[in-house]
Amino acid sequence: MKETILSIENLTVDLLSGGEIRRVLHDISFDVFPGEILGLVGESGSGKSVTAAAIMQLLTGGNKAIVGGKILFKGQDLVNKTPAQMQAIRGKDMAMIFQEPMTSLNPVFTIGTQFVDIIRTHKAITEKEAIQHALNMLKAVHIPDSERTFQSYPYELSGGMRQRVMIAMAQSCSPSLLIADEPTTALDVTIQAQILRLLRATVKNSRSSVIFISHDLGVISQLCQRVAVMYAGEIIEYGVVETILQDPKHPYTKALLHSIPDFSTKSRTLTSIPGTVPDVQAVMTGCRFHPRCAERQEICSKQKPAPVTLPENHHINCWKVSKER
Amino acid sequence: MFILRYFIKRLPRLLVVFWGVSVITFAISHVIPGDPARMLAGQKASQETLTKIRVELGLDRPIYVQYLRYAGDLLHGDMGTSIRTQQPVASELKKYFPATLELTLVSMLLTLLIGISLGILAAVQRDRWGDHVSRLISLLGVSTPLFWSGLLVMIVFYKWLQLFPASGRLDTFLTPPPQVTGLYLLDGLLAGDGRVVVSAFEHLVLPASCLAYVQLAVIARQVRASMIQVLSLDYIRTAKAFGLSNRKIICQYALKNALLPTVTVAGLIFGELLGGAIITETIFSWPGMGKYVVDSVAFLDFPAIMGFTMVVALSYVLINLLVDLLYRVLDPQIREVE
Amino acid sequence: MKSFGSVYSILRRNSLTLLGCFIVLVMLFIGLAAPVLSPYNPVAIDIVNKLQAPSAAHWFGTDEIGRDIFSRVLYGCRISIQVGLYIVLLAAVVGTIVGSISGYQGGLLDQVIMTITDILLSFPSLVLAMALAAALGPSLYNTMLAVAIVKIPVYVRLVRGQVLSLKEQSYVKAAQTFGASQAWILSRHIIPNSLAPVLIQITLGIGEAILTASSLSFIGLGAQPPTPEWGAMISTARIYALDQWWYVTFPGIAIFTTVVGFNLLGDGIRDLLDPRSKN
Repeated sequence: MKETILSIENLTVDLLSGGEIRRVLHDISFDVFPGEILGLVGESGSGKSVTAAAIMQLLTGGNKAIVGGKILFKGQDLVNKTPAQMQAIRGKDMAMIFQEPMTSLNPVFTIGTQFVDIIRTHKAITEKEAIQHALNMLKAVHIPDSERTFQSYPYELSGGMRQRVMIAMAQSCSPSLLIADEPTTALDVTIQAQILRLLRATVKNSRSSVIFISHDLGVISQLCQRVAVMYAGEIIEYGVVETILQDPKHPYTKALLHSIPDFSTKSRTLTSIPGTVPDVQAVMTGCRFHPRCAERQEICSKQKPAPVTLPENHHINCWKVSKER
Repeated sequence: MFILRYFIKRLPRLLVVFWGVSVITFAISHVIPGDPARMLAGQKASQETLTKIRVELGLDRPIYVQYLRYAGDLLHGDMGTSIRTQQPVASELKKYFPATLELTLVSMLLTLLIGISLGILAAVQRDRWGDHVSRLISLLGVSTPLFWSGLLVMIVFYKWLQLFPASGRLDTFLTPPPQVTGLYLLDGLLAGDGRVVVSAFEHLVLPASCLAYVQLAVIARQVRASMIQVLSLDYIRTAKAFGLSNRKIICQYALKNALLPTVTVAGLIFGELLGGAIITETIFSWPGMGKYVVDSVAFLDFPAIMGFTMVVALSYVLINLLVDLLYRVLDPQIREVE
Repeated sequence: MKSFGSVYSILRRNSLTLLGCFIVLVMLFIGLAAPVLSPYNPVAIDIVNKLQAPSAAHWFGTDEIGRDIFSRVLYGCRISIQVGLYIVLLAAVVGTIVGSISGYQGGLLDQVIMTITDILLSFPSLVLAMALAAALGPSLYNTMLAVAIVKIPVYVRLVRGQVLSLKEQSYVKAAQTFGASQAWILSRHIIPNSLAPVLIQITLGIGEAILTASSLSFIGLGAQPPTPEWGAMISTARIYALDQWWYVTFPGIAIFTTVVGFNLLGDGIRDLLDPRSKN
């Protein structure tokens, strides 16, 4: 068993929303190995961002929201950590970048001020040293005029630039794990490509691991080595990217891939998955995808599928696959 | 420097407002009353005095001529003569201005310090005890009549507990320090006179607290609302994700953003403090413009009343100008937009 | 407009608003029933019993010419509530009309009205009210008028803002294409849809109005003796404050309670009508 940077075991999360408690994550498990980029893919509402927030212990409701399971980061269970301990880890050993670069930076402070604050929170160095470090990091993410950017306010920079700044900030204390929550979704396609290239290079140089969250299978296929597919708060398929994309086993993954418009297939109608993502509170027996599944069987509505492991650590939760073995 | 540019841009509107203020005060003293001559000469003036006044002040001339005269006098710093004291109103106001300024400034300081702290407490402790206490204080503050709280405070802290004095600016046996600013606290410090500073401070406690109490409630509400809104924004989430300490997030990252709308409110608060000074100075026998005007009201001493009104309005306009400038200094984005 | 059922359930959930409502109703009742509830004639002089401390015979004590303070406070309730309502309603009606015309017409008229409004708002409200009240002559009626005038700009701005945004709505433009007159559009479409913020402002403003009016009475401009207005009473009570605490205290409690009641009720109505303010 290889050493993992992050190991999520049977994580279950309940969130308070509109006065009611809803289970948003059901017993999810996955690992992140050193130096790899793991993709986390799913539609809106599948629980991707909640997973990220849970790992960072930034859920509204704090620790109380995590009702079961473990989050093992470098062997230590984060669920048991105090807020002070987590503060020391966040930004230093573990960092996160967000989807909306336009609103993710404080508008009334310069980039420099915010950057130096972050660095000095985690490193006991002088302000001059921190400024130098920040400038170096800005150069490392290929920002053309790092001094000028350092003195700018966020509103003076474009979305792509801000995202570069965020990446620089995230990497500044050399974290072992970087969580990127849809970092390119809000950007133009050309800028997207640049940022992805930057991410790939940064990871290669620093040997940190990345959890890359997206709803875009295309991006995931370019960037990630392994991928976990989420649906309705569960991980339904999980394994090496090439295997899953070329030969998906779970009906949902198949349908997701099938619904991507492809110029080569020349089909006239766009296919979509019938039905909608289940209401978060809905208590369901059996497989959570079965109402929309084209290949469902009788047992699917009655019992939750047992996890199946195919070669190369390909994990699936599906009765059809179980039966085929 | 953009401050200069700002003033130049604002100058035309400022002049219009100043002019407007003078028109209003003119209208109030010359147009509204049934007999302006009586207003300006006093209720007890005899018929001959009235006729004399009418001619002297040109009250028989058309309105716009009267106004031009009025405005002309103002530009020369002439606000007429007080009926009650027979002194020029302008010099009397000048005499009493520093006392009011000191009271208002100290009240403003208290208002901001306590009000902002209460607001932050309420926002951070949202829906828990700190929030409830803060909101209770706010409610009581905006519901308490200033003249009543002043008297109650006087009864409790002066008569019963004998903690603080309740009239005047200094103990009667002390001489005021040499006038530099007219603010006894400052002048006392500059003159190195410890007893004066202490006495001035003691005399400020009750009136300034009363004045501040009403307004700090307003600030607390504003800050609470702003902070709650700011704390839910994305960049606060980013700050948390990077492990910044709670104190830094609340007191710097959130507060600087939350205080922006509060800055605008501060200008309005200052106006309310100026108005409230009328009441507070009367109750605590504080020798400022407020007490002066209340004494004048009893006599229906119009020149004095209108002089006061004009001075207060102009001060208020200038304060709001400064507040607006401060807002631009704090918010880099607004500067760009302009 | 929300149905009565949801109004009731929201009020129930928010007990503070209920408290405010209760206080206001009590005060209204006292105001209406003052003649019946007062044990004494509020202007009946009884020098022998002057400045008595609270007792069984005089619950709030007596003033400097022996009048029963309790009775005077009850009658004062009538005055203050009427004053508050009058001020706010006058300001709201005038302000709404001026604001809606200004916003709808736009152009020079709007500029002029806005400049006048800005200039009026350059005076702190108590100061301007005082000057106006003095010019009009010291009487309760003139004070009400003065305070109302000072409050008008608030409503003008409020309604103008509403009108400016409503003006662009499609149903207004449609009505214009049908040749509807400005007055018709204003009264049928625009004003009814601007009412919610005005209503909120009215309920929040009553407490303020009562405070301002009683402050003016306190400095001698409002109610004249022997009218039992709370502010005027405290003004006379001032010299006796240190030795006869009751004279100052009870009228003040009356003002305070009434204003708290209106403020609580106003906050509740604001939460009801303006979901944006729910924090």
